[in-house]
Amino acid sequence: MEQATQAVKHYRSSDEHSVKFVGSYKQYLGLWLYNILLTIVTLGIYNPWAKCAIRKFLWQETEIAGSRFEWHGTGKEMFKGFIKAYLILGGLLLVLNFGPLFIPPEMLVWAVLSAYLLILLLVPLAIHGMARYRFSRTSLRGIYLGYRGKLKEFYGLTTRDFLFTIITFGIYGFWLEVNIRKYILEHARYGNVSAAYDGKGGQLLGLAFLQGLLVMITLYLYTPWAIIEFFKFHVKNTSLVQNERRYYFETNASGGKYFVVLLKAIGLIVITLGIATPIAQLMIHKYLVETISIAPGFSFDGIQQTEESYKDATGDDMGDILDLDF
Amino acid sequence: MKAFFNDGKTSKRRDCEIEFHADKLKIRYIDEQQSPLTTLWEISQISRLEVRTSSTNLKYGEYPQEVLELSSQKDLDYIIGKYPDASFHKSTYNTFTTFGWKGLMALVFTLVALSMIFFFYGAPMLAEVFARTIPEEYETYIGRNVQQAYLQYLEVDSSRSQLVQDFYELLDYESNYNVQIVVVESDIANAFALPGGFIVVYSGILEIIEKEDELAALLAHEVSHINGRHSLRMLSRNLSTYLLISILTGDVGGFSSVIIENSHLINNLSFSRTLEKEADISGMRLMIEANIDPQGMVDLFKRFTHLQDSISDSLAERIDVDTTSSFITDDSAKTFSQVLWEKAEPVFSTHPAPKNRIEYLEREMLDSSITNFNGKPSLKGLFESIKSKTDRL
Repeated sequence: MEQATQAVKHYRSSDEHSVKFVGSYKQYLGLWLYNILLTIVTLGIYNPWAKCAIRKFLWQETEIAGSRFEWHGTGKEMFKGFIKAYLILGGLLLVLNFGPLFIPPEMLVWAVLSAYLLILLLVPLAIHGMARYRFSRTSLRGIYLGYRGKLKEFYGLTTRDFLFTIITFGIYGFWLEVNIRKYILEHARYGNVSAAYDGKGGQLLGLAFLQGLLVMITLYLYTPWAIIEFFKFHVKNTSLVQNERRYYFETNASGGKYFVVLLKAIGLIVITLGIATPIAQLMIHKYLVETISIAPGFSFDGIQQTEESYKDATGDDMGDILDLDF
Repeated sequence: MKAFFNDGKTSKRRDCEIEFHADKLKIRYIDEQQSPLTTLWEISQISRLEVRTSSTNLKYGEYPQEVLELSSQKDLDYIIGKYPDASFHKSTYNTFTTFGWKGLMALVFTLVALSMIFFFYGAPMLAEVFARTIPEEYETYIGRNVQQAYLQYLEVDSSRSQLVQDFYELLDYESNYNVQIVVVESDIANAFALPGGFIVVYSGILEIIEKEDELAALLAHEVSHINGRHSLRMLSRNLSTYLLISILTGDVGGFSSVIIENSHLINNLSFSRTLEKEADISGMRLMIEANIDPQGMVDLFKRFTHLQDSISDSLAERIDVDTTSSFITDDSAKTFSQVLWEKAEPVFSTHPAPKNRIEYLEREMLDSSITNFNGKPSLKGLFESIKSKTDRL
């Protein structure tokens, strides 16, 4: 009898194509507190190691087909990315916030304009670097993910789309978003499995129009439902390509359930004066992640290792500069 | 013990058997071709379980890593039990993630206390050290840029600037900086100092001042801001807290950062009042050293108290000056919120209340051993020419 209830309660655990998140809230809180402690003691320098530990937790507590993901990134690698990002961002923030203090007034306009231009140029670099880094440091069942996008191509795409976005007063922004996703996913690998993304800018525009309207009509009450609609749009348009067949991701997320989770999370934060923030964040993460599954038929057993070692000495120096995470 | 082995070549999980040796694990599994294989894992080469939590995987070697998937945490505990001294399971994270709720709560309180100490003492102290190491030339450079940017929007009265400058030179206050004074046309009764020796005096304040000693006091206050590098200290404090908050709140949620931001504001306001008090008192000392009657400082604040009492709506249209080192608070027409504000002033104001200022200045005067001040006769004449220009307006 007891077995029967168990089976019903954990019906998803028998489904090897659904994602499960098994992390414990208490352990996550402990992890998080330790991170804060070290971040304070080291005046913030520990931040990348802290982020790395959090990611290790999130990855290895996520399960699909009975196996856990692994995060192979290290604090040291992330520290390098952090330094790069902070030097650049710090410089830019300095110009934008405190420019008048050290830049002659006649140069100020140019300095601020070039700072903004530089930010625009850095965004594609940052997205590319993060994709490269995150994919290459993730594995499941010993098979590594990878990202084979080319920076030059990616720049071409983002610059073109960004110009269109300006010309169309932002409307093309939906195509920009979709094209970035498409490019990144289509250049992502999981061993000999590749990914695809079918979302179209026009569909996203339509969705945004409808959802935006509903959010306004309901005085923002509809927001959680709208968020879920976007989430579904992206998840359902993503697929994995194995042996020339496409296996789509599926999500059974619902706005109502998401709304309840959000309410619980916010309530928890308020009651504990912010101390339970990590638990609240994890609740939301868990809900969303666990709604995802991949179409039956996808074989988790027949994947071959294909990606070259990210530690390969030849590509290391140049590639390393592009590895970013912050 | 049930376990799977991933060889790093394919994703096929292979049933395996583990044999425990003194310094290695022997893993036997069946490969694709159904032939039995064995791999050896040196215990010292097993990847560290940095964050163990509920993980049940062990990883080994360089890219691509081999993975041992254990079916339960008990199995992992069993392996760890076999090698209690091995480094693969040693990590401080693992201590913290096994804390009970009580332990976690104790940790929360320690952290809150630690952050408070760091926030109210550590960060400001670092900022102070930083501000003191900035070379004077650079400070002057910053000040000149800000002054130029600021003066673009104001009308400079160059002849009166020269007169006040001459007045200042006669005072002969001690300062390492080449102090340059500019008088600008404005109804606002205010004056402020910029880093590196730049003082901006609004003509409005010259109308209110009645005696040369009061002008001497005003300049003494501003020069003290410059000598004490107050703007720079304030600025580096803002900047450091801003940077630190951004670093520390990297993964802290929105709520806590709101709390931090607000306490930051209050913290800074109290710092601002400390600096104002410092400028009042060291300004008074400058006057005493220069043989000028420090009563001028007290008189000046008495004028502001009167002014505040009789302030009219017409003064409400004041530009919001950067209060970092301006002379008086920008209180104008009283509204309900302002009455509230005044009640809360000891906590929320950038400047000490004039009444308080008069009190501590009078105390400071009593402490001074010199009681007889000759003053400087030529100051009076110069002050009259400054005033006459004001009166003509």
